Amino acid sequence: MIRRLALAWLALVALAALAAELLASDRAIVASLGGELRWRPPAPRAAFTADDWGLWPPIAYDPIAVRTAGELTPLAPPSAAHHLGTDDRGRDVAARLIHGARTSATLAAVATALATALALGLGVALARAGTTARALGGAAVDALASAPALLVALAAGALLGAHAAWALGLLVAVPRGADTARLVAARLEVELAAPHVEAARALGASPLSILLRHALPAVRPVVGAAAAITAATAVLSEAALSFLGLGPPPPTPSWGELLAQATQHDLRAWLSIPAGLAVTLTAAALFALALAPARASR
Amino acid sequence: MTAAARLVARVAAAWLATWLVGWSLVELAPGAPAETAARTAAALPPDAAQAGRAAVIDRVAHELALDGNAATRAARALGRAARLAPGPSWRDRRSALTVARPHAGATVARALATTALALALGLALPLALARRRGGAAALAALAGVAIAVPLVWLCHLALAIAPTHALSSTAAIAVTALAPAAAIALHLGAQLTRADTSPLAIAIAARGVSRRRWHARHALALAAAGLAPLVASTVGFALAAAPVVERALALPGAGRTLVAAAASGDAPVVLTLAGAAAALVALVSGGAQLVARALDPRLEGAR
Repeated sequence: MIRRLALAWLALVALAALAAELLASDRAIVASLGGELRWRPPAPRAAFTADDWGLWPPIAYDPIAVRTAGELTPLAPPSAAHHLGTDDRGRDVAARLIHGARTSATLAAVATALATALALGLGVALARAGTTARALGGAAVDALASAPALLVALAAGALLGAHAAWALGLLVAVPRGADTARLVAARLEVELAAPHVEAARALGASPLSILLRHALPAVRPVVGAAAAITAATAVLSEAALSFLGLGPPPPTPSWGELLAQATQHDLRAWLSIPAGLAVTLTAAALFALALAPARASR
Repeated sequence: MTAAARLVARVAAAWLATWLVGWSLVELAPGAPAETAARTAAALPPDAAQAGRAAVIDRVAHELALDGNAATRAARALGRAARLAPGPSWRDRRSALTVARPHAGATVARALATTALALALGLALPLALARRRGGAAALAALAGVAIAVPLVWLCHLALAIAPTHALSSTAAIAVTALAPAAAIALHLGAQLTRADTSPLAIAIAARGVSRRRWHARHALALAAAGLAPLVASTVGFALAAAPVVERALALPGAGRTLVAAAASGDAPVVLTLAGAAAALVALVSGGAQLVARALDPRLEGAR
């Protein structure tokens, strides 16, 4: 049940991330302008004549454009026009929340892919290394893994001057990948000494074939759970870094940036609650998926 | 090598490794370090002519010993770190240690208090819930949500519930302790569930020992050694959370110093604070391993 709920929520977030332009934008999805049918025309709603028509996104506001012509009020509470209110620049909070899902999902996907690749690479290398190399490599991996992911991302991001989503993903991935590598290496060592692997070796199977066909499938549950934890860490780190002003550069919409705005503006509920809930539910869903195999085995 | 010497070596390695990796990132960043330092010190007028900019960068490079090639600069930075004299801040030329030190004690004290609170909560919750029907499921659900709540939001909740009391170290400690306490509770809950089905538990129950006594006297002792790494990671988490919590709750501390230094690109201060955090985590981690080996002598043999 919990697993299904978690998957359903993550599917919603993925949908919001993939179809953000179709869910929240000030451009029509499809419009007939002067008798010509056009896909996402750049014309604003005001440019439509009585003969034109358009299919508009459910939230017909741009998440980035700042309107200064008196159309929008900054920090307006939720209303019929803006279901989740507006932020300090008069931008629609619901539109920024939906587009913020894309920022979080990108960061989580980049961090998870990099951490998994790093964990598998380091894990295989450690499991197959000689005694000295394993001791040295193990010490380096231990040092990397013990570093708190948020602190690493904060310090390294500042030193590199990198605040793009892919760079933050990389910074979150390194300590998480190192942490997972220890588990992968330990599991691989056990698998490589198992009787069925001995038998495969005696039958002349190559080291690569043994690794791919016998050892790596056994680490799939470990890697899967670690990937979910890495994605959750990335979502939480994005929120924290954006709150500190060290996340994706403005005006990129992000959940952490909405939380930062809430702090600056007397904890306005319509800024804090939707963004906080979005981060919490996404991270909780990912943690639930990570813990599901352990729960099932009990 | 004695245990104490190993611990000192571990702390020194963490401090130096942070500087080595951090300085490599400084060198990898776009622009020469001297140019970044000049920009950090606001010594580089944006509208200055090319020749004027070069002169300013040369002067800053000379003042901060950032001239020479990358290897020379890295050797100098590591040498200074080894002498525990990280050099001047790029922003205002005061010693990086002087910039980093104010309120650092408060941050460390809060991190240690957070660890103590997380440990107390993480031990109490599974023991209390273990005796109830559905306790394991309730614990898993509670812990799962507690781990997932972003710290910023917890700070918002603290400020909304008790605006005056929230602006205190106690609130910061409570807010930060929630996620590590949940992690400890989850770990201990799983250990207790495993221990409850062990032959030892059956034998002890057969001798009439109550479930409460079994948990308090035996199961907890068996699980204690496994908690050592979690204690170290709790200190790391509390230190990493300090920038967020201190900023959200307007508390003074090293976390806010780190954010200010990171925002302005003041590398020596960032590296000093990151290195100190790494050294502290290494110290607590090493100490926790010693305690774990004392609690469970089998770990000594397995080393």
